[in-house]
Amino acid sequence: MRTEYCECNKEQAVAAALRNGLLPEELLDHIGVCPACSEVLCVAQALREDAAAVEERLQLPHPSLIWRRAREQATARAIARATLPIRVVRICACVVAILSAPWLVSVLLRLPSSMPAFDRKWFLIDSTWPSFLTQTTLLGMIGTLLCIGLSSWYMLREE
Amino acid sequence: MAARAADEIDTSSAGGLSMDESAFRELYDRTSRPLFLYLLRVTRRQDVAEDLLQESYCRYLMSSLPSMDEPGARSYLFRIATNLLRDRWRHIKNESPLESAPEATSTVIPAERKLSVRQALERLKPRERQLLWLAHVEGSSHQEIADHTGLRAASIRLLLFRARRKLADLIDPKGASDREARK
Repeated sequence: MRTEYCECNKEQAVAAALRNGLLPEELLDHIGVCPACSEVLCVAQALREDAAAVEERLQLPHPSLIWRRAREQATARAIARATLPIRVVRICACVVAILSAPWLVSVLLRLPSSMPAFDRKWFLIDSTWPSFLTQTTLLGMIGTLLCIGLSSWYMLREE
Repeated sequence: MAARAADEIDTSSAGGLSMDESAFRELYDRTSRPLFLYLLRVTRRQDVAEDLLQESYCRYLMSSLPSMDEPGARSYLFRIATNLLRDRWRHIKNESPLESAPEATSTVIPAERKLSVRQALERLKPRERQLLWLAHVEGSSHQEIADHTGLRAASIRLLLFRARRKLADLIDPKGASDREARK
């Protein structure tokens, strides 16, 4: 097969003239002597004739089919977006549960020995209560409010 | 919550899509034939071409781009279709070489034998069919072809030249000899 590259600056003009269906004499004369342009003419004409022949018996899908498919995809995408926070929280809960399981097991195993201290520290409202509120409960409350705020923003945002 | 989200979509005019149904039908009537022809000739399979056509319009409808004029929409649809073709070639590369590889490219064709355009196209690689169709049927410039295909604009000229020569040799071997003699 011939592979040497040859180019002509009138190739684009020949292609454009073919698309318009009008080849001026000047270009026709040029095509007669220019191998690159005659190649463009040969290929472009053949492809366009082929396209015209195929187009006559073309069976296009009905637009309502495509419309319905697009609606289904849009619905699925919207549902996926709306339920994303739920899926994220579910995954987070699973991760936390898995990570805290060993700790919980170890606490349960040590429970009988720590029961007296447990009673005093966790169930009696005395002077230790305010410090407990500051360090842990407050942090938990802030985290919860932040999560509620973020998820509300995500659900109600407009694109 | 999921059901509520679906209800909200159904009650809106375009259901989360970029245009309403009548506008889509108009666009489809004006742009679907050349796009389908392109997909049909590049893939050579009616079912695949139909599927890619549908998916191209679905992606267009679901895009959140601002409204565009007809040439812009047409160009965007061709870009989506070309990306889908590329994804498909990547996906089937190892599964079905029949669709991605040229058919019997190693076969030597006698100089006097002239192939129909369809047969000749079947002997080209999908990428070559794609470039030739975009350049000579759609009238896309090299830059537009580069934008659609993701190839470098500088490469298009040479790739297109090789594909054109290959096709010209297949559909008109005698003419190819004449052109060679003219150099």
